[in-house]
Amino acid sequence: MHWNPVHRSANLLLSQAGGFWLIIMSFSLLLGTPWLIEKAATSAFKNRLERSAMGLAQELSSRLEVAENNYVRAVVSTPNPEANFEKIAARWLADSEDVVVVRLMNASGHVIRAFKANRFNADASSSDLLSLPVNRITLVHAIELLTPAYSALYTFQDQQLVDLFIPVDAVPSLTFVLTLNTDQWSRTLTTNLSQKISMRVVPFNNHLNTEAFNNHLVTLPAWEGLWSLQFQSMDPLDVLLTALRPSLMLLIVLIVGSFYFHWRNFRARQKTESELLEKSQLLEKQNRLSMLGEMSASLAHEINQPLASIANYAVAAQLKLQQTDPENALFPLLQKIHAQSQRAAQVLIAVRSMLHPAPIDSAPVNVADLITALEPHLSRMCKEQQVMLQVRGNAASKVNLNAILFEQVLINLVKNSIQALETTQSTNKRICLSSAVINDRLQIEVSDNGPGIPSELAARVFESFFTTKKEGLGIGLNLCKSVIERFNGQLSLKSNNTDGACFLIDLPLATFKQEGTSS
Amino acid sequence: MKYQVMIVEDDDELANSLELLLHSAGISDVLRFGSAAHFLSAYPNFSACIHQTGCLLLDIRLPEMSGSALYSHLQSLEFPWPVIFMTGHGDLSMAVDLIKAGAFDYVTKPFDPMGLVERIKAANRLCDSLILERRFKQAHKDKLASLTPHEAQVFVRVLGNQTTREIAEAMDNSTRTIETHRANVLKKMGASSALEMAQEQERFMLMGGVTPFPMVSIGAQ
Repeated sequence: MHWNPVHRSANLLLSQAGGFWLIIMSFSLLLGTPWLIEKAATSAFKNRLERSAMGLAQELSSRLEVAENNYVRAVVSTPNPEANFEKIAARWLADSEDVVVVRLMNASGHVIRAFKANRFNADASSSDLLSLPVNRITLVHAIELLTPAYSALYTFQDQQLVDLFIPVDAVPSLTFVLTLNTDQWSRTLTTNLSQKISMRVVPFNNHLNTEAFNNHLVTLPAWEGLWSLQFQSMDPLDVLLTALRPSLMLLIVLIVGSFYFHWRNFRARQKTESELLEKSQLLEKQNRLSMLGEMSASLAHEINQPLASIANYAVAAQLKLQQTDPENALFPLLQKIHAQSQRAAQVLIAVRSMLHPAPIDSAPVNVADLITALEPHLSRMCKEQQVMLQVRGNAASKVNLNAILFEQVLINLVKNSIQALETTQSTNKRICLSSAVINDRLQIEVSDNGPGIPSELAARVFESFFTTKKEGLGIGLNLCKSVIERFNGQLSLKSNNTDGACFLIDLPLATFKQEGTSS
Repeated sequence: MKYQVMIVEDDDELANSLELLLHSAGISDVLRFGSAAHFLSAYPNFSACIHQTGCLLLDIRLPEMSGSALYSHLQSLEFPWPVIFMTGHGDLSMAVDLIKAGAFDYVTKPFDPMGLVERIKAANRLCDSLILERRFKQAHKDKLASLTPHEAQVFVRVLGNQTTREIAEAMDNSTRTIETHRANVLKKMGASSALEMAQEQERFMLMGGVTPFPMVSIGAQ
């Protein structure tokens, strides 16, 4: 994975500097901002609206008042309303746009005359008109519109109607009922708000029992109309915001969701990466420790050889001296040489027992499992150097091994190959780790397509303290060889040419007889 | 007795020092080999070693063929000499395995030179007795082989503690004939009495010797 620096630092910030809270904050910010904007806009608008609506209400109120006064006066001035009903009604209807129906009601609440305006396009026959107000009536008391007359608000064929009840002074038993179509009001208003506000007259309290009102109207006509005006914004911005609100919310949730999932993904990936890194570091550490043990064996061997020679020479000299000149002054010196060589050997033994506190156990190990478990670490090592690692074969066979040491051998061989590939300029660097079972022996090959080992040096690669690398100690391959030999196997340079080198590990498969023995 | 010691050791300096040490300790017949391959090419079979007292000093860590691999190869060829291993690791489990496999002894480098000399002497003593044993075994086997089938039957019956008369009856022969056979058997076996012959036969059997004829008495035909 190649992260560019910006991406990397952003991810770092997300993962480390309280990434979770950052997510929560941006979430709430994203969600909150449009909501707040909308709130601010609507509240500003509402204020305006309320102010306008108040004016509107006043205007309405005054209009209604004027109309009422006019009608009351007109009714009062009419000597025989019942006889002149048609004439009066026609005049009123012509005078006002609001008035759509005029009726005359007697004392018992029955309509005795009715007259409908042509513009009132309600599909109503005269008998319907006579029965108004119908049982769907909603009587309300208008707080905003204080009128001296009684009024009733109801819906008739989807039209909000207001009835004005005007008693006839001359004939106490008769009442004029003027039906006003409120739909006309908003249309006829002079205010310029009409484009921004849609107005509806709605019952102020609509949970009142209709039937009770019916009776009320009939028996006790001493009620007051109770209704209010409901304004609805028609501002395009407001309308747009309202319409878009759900989709906007959805979009925000989607964005934040995807952001969150990306973050969670990233976290998971980072976690596995860090786990892998941790495991790799552990392996490296084990590598150093186990290889230190092996190195001490190699070192002990290299030092013990000359120590043994020194002791041999010293004793041989003592023996010769004993035969010819037992009293020679050199005799105790030779004894000291011998004693000191033994002392040096003891130091080596102490160091070795410190580095190798326990004998190395071997147990039957499934090599395929071992390689599978090791593969991520090896690929990581390879990836760091832009090398491609191929793992082939599935040698699911058990071999008597010490898993940790064997892992180290594989790591060392791959590392060796990587170092060999470092010197080439090739863009196609490959290392292949393949395993197979041939004739009851496990064979693992580690090959690379590097420059190979110079032929004059190839014979010496397994010698201890032999290296071609500046910083190397020259014990890697030697140790690998001694580890493999420890498990009764062989490590050899299978092929070596300019197309690369191939190392072969050859191990006997574990049999039941071998199981449990330690080498 | 003249000893021969063979050393297989890849480190020249150590081999030199060993040679010098052994010379000083009075063992002058020392042969050195740098690797298992050299040793095997010099001694493809060990006919020379069979009658010679000696021991083999073998380094475990050798290039190409390791000491233990060489040892198992030698065992398959019935190498007659005791083998002392020199280990560099001080790897106890490996040493135990080798001793189990029949190695005479092992020393850990850097070893005490006098201790090594003692062990070589002990190995040579063992080798001596092995040679004597081998000689006796071979001689006894030859003697047994020289018996005729009839004599072999008499031999088996004599060892079975049967008297001459009993043998004569069992084999349906005259007592006199059996007596002649008995005398021939004793002569051929080089024994002065039946008891001595029985003792030698027992020793032969204990050494794992195999008689060329079945050791059961066969009835008269």
